[in-house]
Amino acid sequence: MVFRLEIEGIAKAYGRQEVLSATSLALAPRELLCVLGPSGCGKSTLLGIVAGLVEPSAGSVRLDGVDVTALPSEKRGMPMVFQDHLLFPAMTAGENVAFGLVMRRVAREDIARRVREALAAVRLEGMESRLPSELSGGQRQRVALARALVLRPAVLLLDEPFSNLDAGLRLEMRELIMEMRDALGFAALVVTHDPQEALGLGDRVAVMQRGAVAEIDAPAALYARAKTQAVAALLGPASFLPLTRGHAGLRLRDGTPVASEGDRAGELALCLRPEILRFAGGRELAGTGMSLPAQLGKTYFTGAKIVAEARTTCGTLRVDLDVTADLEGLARQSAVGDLCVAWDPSRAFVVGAEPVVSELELKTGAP
Amino acid sequence: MRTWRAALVHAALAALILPVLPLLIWSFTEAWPWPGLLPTTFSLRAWRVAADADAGFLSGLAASCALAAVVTVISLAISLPLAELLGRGRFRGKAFVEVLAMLPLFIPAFVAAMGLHETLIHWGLADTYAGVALLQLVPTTPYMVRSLATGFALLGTRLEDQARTLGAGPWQVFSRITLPRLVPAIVLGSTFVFLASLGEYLLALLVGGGAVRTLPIVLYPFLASGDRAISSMGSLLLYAGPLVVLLVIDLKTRKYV
Repeated sequence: MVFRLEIEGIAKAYGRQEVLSATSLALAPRELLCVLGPSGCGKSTLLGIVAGLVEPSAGSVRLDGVDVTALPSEKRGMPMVFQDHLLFPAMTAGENVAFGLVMRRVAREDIARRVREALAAVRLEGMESRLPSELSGGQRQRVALARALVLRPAVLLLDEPFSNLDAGLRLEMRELIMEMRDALGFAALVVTHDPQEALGLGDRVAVMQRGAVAEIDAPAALYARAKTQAVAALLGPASFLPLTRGHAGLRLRDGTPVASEGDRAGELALCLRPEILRFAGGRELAGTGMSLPAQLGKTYFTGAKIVAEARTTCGTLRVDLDVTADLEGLARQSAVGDLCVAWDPSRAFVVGAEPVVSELELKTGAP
Repeated sequence: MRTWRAALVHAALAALILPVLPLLIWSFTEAWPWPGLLPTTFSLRAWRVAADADAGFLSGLAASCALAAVVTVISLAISLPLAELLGRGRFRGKAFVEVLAMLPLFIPAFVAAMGLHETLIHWGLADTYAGVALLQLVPTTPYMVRSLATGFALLGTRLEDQARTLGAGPWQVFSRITLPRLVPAIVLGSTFVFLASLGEYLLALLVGGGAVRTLPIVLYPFLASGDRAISSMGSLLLYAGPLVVLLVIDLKTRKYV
C-alpha cells in the first residue's frame, strides 16, 4: 500500500519532559485520519511536527515516500488550518486566500480565478473584499479552509478546526470538509478532542494517550470494540463492570458468567454502552450472562432521551431510555425487587481495565 | 463620572495646545511691554528671517528632519533583532539584558560623546552629519528597543506559523506578516526617536563642531540673546516639522492599527 503521509517513530521531549514517544501513523491517499485525545496528550505537538513547525527529537516524516523531516514548513506544501482561523487581519478574504498562491508565484490571472473558485467552493461568493473583522466566525473558518485548499494540497492538516464554532456550524464544516475531500481528493490529518467529531469525520480514528497512539481503527469498530477502558470511555459514555477469571471463563463480581468473548491477560472489565442496555422483569433473563438484578437509581431528562442509573451488586450502569419510558412503572418494579438490567451480549465487549485515575478522583481523593 | 473624564481630557488637550498660542503671538510681535494683555507693536520681522536663506532656519529645519529620519531608520534596523529576542525569547538572564538595553539612558549622552569624540576624529566622522547621527543613536535607540519589544511580545508566533504552512519563507513571513503587525510599535518607537533627534542640541554642537547646522543649533544664539520673536518663530518651526510628519504617519498607518 502506498501512503501519502508516513509518520515513523516520532518523539518529542522538552528538556526532560517527554510529550511524544515513538509515535507512528500513516495516511492513505484520500483518507481522513482523526487523532483524538485529551488535552496534553501530545496530539497538537504531533501535528506541529508534521507541519514542520516543531522539530522532533527523533523519527521521520515522509510525504509520498520522500523524507521531509529536515525540510522547513514552507517547503512541505502541507497547509494547516488552525482552531482560531488565524486569518491575516490586514488582508481581505480574497488576499488571505491568495496568500499561498502569491508565495508560490502563481500568475496573477490564475490567482484571481482560483481565489474566486475557492471562495465559491466554501460558499462565500462575492466576499473577496471583506476584511476578517467583517466576517462571522463560521465565515472566517471557511475562508481559512479555502486559503488552504486553494493550494490543492495532497495532505491537509487540521488542528481542532471547528472547536470555536457552535454545534450547527461544526456539523456544516464537517460536511464541507468531507465534500471537499471527495471533490479534490486530498488526505487530511485532523486533530481533535471531540469524540463526536472524530467518529463523524474520520475514515479512521487514532486515539492518543500520554504521548502515544493507544488504538487506531475505523470509527465504528473502535467505538464498538475498544481494547482498553480508557479508550472506550474517551469515545463515548460507557459503564464498566470489573471481571474475574474463573475456570469456566470470565465472571462478573457476583459470579455471573459472562456471555461475551475476549478473555486475555491482565485486569479486565465488561464495557456496556448506555444504548445497548435496557430494563426488564426481574427473573426474565436471570443466569443468561446478559443481565443483572438492578435497582432504579437517579434519572434525568436530556431532551432526546432519558438517562437512568441502574444500581447492581457489580456496579452502577448508565442506561439510555426512550423519552416515552414508564419511569413510575420501573420505580414500582425496582421497589419490589422485580427489575433487572439486560444487554445484548454481542454488543457488550471486554476491555483491558488498567487502573484509570481520573483528574476528578485525584482532586477529591475518592477511591 | 463621564463629565469628570471629559473635563480631564479637555484639560490635557488645553495643556498641550495652549502653550503654542503665546509662541504664535510672540512670533509676530515687535514689542510687548508688561503688563499689557496684547503686544503694542506687531511685525513680520521674525518670519522674514525664517524665509531668509542666509539665516539658515529653513535649511536647519530640513537638516534636522533629514537627520532625524536617518537616525530613526538606522535605530529601527538595529533594534529589530534585539527587540525580537527581548519580546519573544525565553532565556536565562533576560531581565539583565533588558536592563542592559536601557543602560544608555542612564548615562548623559554628552559623556558618551566626550569619550567617543576622539574615535570619531580618527574615523573622520567629527564635524559631520554622519558622526552626529551615530552618536544620537546612543540615547535614542533604547526607546525604540523597548517599544518594539513590547510589540513583539504582543504578537505571538501563530500567524507566522500559519504563513509558513502556506508556503511563506522567512523573509516573506517577516515582510508580509510580522512587519505590518508591528506597525503600531514601530510608529511609537519611531516617534520617540524622531522627536529626540529633532530637538537634540548638545551632541549636534559637540560632535558637529559648527559644521552641522540643525535647527536647534541655528536657533540657540537667538534664545541666548533674548530675541523673543525669532525664538518663538524657531520654536514653532521645530513644532510644525514633527507635527506634519506625525500626521502623515498616522494617516498612512491607520489600517494597521
